[in-house]
Amino acid sequence: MSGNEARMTSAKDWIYEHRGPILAALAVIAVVLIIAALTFSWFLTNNSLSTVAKVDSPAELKITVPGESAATQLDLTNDADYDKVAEDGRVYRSRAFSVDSGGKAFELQVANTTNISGMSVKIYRATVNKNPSDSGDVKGNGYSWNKGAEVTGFTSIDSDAAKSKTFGDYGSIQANALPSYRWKRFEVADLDKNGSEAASVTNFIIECSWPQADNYKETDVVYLIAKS
Amino acid sequence: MKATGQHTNHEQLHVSQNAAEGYRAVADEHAQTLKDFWKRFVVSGLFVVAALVIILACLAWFLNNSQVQATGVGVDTAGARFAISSDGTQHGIYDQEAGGAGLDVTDSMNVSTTSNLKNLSDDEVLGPGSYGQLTFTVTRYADDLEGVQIDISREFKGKQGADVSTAVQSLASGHLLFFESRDDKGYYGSRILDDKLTIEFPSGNTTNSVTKTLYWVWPEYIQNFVYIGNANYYKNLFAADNDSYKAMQAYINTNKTSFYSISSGQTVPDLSSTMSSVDLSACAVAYNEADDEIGNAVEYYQVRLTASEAKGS
Repeated sequence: MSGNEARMTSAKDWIYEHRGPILAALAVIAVVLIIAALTFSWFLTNNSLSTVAKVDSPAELKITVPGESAATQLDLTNDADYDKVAEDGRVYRSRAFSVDSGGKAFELQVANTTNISGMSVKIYRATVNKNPSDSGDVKGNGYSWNKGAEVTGFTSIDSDAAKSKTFGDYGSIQANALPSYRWKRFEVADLDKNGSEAASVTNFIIECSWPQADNYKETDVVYLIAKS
Repeated sequence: MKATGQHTNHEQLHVSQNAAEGYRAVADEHAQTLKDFWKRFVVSGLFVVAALVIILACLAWFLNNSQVQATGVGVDTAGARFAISSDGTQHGIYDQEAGGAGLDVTDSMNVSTTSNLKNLSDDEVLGPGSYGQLTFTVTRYADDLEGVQIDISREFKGKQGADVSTAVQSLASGHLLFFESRDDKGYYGSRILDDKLTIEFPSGNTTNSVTKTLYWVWPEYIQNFVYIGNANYYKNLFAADNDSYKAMQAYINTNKTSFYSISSGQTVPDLSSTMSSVDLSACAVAYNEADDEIGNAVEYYQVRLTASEAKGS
C-alpha cells in the first residue's frame, strides 16, 4: 500500500469514525445559514422604490430656408415673378421654410398682425422637387418646392390673454396691431420622413394672401416661431 | 540453562502482553480525548452560533429604521411593519441600461400608462415641459403603525456613466418638482416640501393600505412660476395667487442655485407677482441656461421613494 493510499484510507476511517460529530457540525452550519438568511431578509423588506428616466438633450431647433441656412427673416416683399393674382382678386405670396429639429418633435407658432383687411396666412406641407428647374409652387435659387396638404388643427390663443405677455402694462394698443396667435405641435410621427425615420428637417410653405383692392400702404408682420 | 531460557521466554511474553495493554490503553485514552474534544467543539460551536444570531438580529434591529424606534428607555420592535409597492406590469424602460451605467436599480418600481417618469417606452424622454404622476401603495402589517414617511431622493448619471457635478445635480433636483395635487386644468397644489411626505394611518382606522399619487412636473418656463391661470397654454403651475404659488416663489428665491445657472458675480432677481418684465427676462435666461446644462450633462435621472416609519405624526 503506497503512502497516499494509506493516508486516504486513514482519512476515510477518520471520517467514518467521526461521522456523528461531522453530521452535527453540518447541521449546525445549515441552521446558521437559514437563520442568517432570514435575518438578512429583514433588511430587504421592501421599503424603497426607484425609477429611471432618460433626460432629453437640448434640441438644436432652427427655422431655415431652402439650402438649410438659418433664417431670421423671410423676405415677403413684392416679387413680380412669383406673386399671383387670382381670379378672385386676391394676391397670393408664398415662401418656403423648414424647421430643423433634428428629428425631434416641435411646436410651430404663427402670429400675425391684422392691418391688411382680409389677409390670410396659411401653412402648407411641402415637397421638394428633385430638379430645381422643375416648375413648383415656390421656386428660387437652386430649389423648387410644391405645396402639399394645408396644415390644419392650429390652436388659437385669445389675443387678450396674450396681450400682457407681448405689450406688458401698455394699454393703448391699436386693435390691428394686436397679433393673432395660433400654434400646433408636430410630434415625431408628423415630421417629414427620411425612409421610415423622421427626417431632421421638415419643410413647409407659408402662403399669405389678401384682396388686391383697397389695400394700399398697409403693413403686417408675420411671426414664425418653432419651439421644442 | 534450559530452565533459565524458559524463564526468559516467559518474561518476554509477559513484557509483550504488558506493552500491548499499554498501547490499547493509550489508544483508548486518545479516542476518549477526541470524543471529549468533539463534544466541547459542538457545545462551543452552538454558543458561537447563538452569539452570531443575536448579533445579526441586533444589527438588523438597529440598522433598519422601518423596524424599530426607541422612545425614552423603551424599545419597540417588530418584524416587517409595512411595505411600499407599485402597480404596473413592467419596470421602467431605462432601468436596465441605467443599471449598466452605474445606478442602483435593485428597487426598480413597476410603471404603467398612468404612473411613470416618461419611461414607459423608449420614445419618451424627460425634459422641460414634461409632467406626469407616480403612484405607489404603502401597506401596513402592524396595527399600531401610525404613519410612514416617504423621502424623495434623486440620483444622476451622465453620458457613458459619467458623474454629474454637484451644481448640475442641484439644478436637476430643483427643476423636477413634486406636488400632491393637480386639477383637471393642470394647475398644481401642495408642493411636497423638502422632498418629504407623510402617509398617516390614523389610530382606530382599519385601513391597512394607502395608495398615493405624486404629481411631478418639469416647468418649461420661469414664467410658469410667475403667471397664473389663463387657460394654461403656457402651462402655468398655479391657478391663482394662492399659498402654493407664494410658497413656490419664496422657495425659488431662497434656493436660486437649484433653479438658475448663475455665473460668478451674477445676481438673478427675485420672483414676485409684480416683478418687471426686464427682471423676468433675466430670470428666464438663467432658468433656460440651467435646462441646457441639465440636458447636456445628465443622461439618466433616477427618482427614489424611500419609506420609513413615522411615529407621533
